Amino acid sequence: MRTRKAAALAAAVALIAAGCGSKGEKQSGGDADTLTIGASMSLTGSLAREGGLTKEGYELCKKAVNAKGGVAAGGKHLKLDIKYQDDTSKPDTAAQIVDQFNDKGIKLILGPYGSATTEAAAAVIERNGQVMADSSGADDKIFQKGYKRTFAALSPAHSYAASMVQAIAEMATPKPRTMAFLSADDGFSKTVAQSGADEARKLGFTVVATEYFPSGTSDVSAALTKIKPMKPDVIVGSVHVAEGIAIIKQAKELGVRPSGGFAETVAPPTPDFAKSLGADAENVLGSTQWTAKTAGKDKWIGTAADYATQFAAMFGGRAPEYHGAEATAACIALVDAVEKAGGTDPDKVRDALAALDEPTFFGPLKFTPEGQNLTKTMQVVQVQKGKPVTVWPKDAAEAPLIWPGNRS
Amino acid sequence: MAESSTAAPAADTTRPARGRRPRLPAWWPWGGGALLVLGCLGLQSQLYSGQERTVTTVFMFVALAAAWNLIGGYTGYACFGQVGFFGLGAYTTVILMVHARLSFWIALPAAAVVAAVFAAVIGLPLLRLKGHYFAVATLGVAEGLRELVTNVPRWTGGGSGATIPSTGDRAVTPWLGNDGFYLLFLGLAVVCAVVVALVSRGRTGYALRAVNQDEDAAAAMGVNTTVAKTVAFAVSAALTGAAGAAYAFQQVTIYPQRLFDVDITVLMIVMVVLGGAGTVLGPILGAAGIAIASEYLRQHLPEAHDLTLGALIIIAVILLPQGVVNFARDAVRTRDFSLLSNVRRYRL
Repeated sequence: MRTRKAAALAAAVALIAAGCGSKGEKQSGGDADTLTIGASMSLTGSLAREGGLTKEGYELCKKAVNAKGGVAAGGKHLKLDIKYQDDTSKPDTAAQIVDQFNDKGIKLILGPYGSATTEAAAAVIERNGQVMADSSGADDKIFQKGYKRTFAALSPAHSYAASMVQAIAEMATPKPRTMAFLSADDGFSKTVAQSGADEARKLGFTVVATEYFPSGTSDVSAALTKIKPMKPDVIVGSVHVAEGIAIIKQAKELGVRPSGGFAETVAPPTPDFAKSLGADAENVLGSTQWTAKTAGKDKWIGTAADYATQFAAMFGGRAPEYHGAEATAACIALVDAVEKAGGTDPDKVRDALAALDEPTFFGPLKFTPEGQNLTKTMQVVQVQKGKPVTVWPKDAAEAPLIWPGNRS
Repeated sequence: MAESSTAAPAADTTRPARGRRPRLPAWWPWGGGALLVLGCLGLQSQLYSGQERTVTTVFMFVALAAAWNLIGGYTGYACFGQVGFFGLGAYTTVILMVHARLSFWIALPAAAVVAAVFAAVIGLPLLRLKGHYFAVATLGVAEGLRELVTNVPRWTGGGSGATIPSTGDRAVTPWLGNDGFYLLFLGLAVVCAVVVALVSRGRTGYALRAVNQDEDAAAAMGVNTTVAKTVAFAVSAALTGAAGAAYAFQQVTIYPQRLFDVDITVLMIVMVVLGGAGTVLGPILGAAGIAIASEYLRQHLPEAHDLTLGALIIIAVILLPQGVVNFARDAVRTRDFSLLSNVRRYRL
């Protein structure tokens, strides 16, 4: 009987303690002389490599900003500190991490790697009244939900293939007439392919096919076989590196020879592409967010060439890729906004980001009301003599376009 | 609370050394469970909003592990495609809320029913398979469901993911907030535990244990094994589907890659095995333990957490092959608390 009474008593106590709802969130984040920014990052899992490259970009930004005396806000110089948490490349974990940062009073967030994790994080950012500078979530879908607190430094997905189509329309002679689109079936790649096809139709090309293959596959032969009889003049691939390599290899094996050539978004700008394909990589077009020839200058980094020097000094002589550059640019956007807002109040920083219009080593940073950066253009590169060189837009071109790109 | 079930080889021959097992009053499992739930409600008021979300994930895994335990633990059919029901429940919710514009409170039970019916239908052929064959076949079902979902983008959004409108005029049910989802997942975990407890004590529970130990003998004794197995499979799927529905609404945007991620099935299995398969309490302890350990390691060892967790699980499985709850029961009965002799008894 006594145990029963004790249990009843304990239950009553627990009931009283159980007010529905949580404590909410803490007010301050860290000490007053430090600007603490949170970043959910794919340190493990399927996107660990790209996550690592993005983290390098954030670290370079931190080093450059602190070397210049830190962030000047509210009459003080704040030391920049970035706290990382591993989201294991999973959107649900990224969302959870952003919530945890909010618990600690960290309101300013740098984006995770990839569109799926960024989209999950953006929803939480909006709910919590945080602010996020997005470094790699390019899918247009993220910016069609009415979010007001996520700002992408990079050019959106819809310009990845469209920029190559524009370059071909502007510079290729003889001008090709038909195009076929091959795309991985993840959200980002599909957006790229669909907006590329729309742009092609707008510029007077005939789109003979749009085919999808499973994202991450090494076998694209089914899609290639399907488009072979349509004899497209140009094959545009919306791909990741491995799929881009597979398309070129298997097209050769299957005898698919577009009279103009191939264009493959992000694959050709990476060093792996020309390395794996050798001579077959020649003249393939690609698009990139950034190269070391990009025009523009800012007070933290300097020019794109300066960025390459600093990157090499910090990471054992390696040349920077666009992943690191876009991460550094997102971090700079946030730092500039804190300076302009004169403090870390998230609403003021948000307004400062919305009003931002700054040239940087990454190109201009200026956001649409939806939070996309349309002022900056993508650059189109072509593999020439084993190296990706910029061929478009004309003012940044290192070499003229070689056309037709297909040598066979 | 923990009834016996799994084949405990030598344990049965080792009789208690002396004395009777200390008797606890009959109401203690229910009383203890109620206290635990009240404790969780009390805990909510002590958490920050983001911590709430972390604990919510623990509750979800408690529910999932308890559900897997019905088919994998009690019945002994190692279902490696359980995440298929999770995804099915989630996508049923998306389709009902986005296309049919039904309330979440209708979509949630509907998701459970769809998963149960699907499990009963595929169960008829699949539950005739045993051992590895059953495991591989269910794995195939989950992969097939993922492909299906990826390839009907009109309904599911395909690889680009699907979003449930959760704010403003387009929302059929407003998002529940971290507070709301805490209560929802706690409720789901409680429902799963209670269902397992009821099944465990009832006639079906004995039928399932009989199937687990020797299916032919069970059939010879008059157990309708087909019905017993199919019911266990369907109930397990229904609970998993309901958890999937709640998860979809919590996440708002869902992707087939994550919703049919085999990692989720593996976690359920590890949680059940480490906690104690075929017991009511085991999966609850296993799920809570692993989910908390995994989250702690992720926060404190950014780059080595997977490796560390994997190593811990290997050690735990070697030391406690029958799970924490079964070990504790054996240990109390035989007064032998040595882990080493436990390893000898089960492995060597």
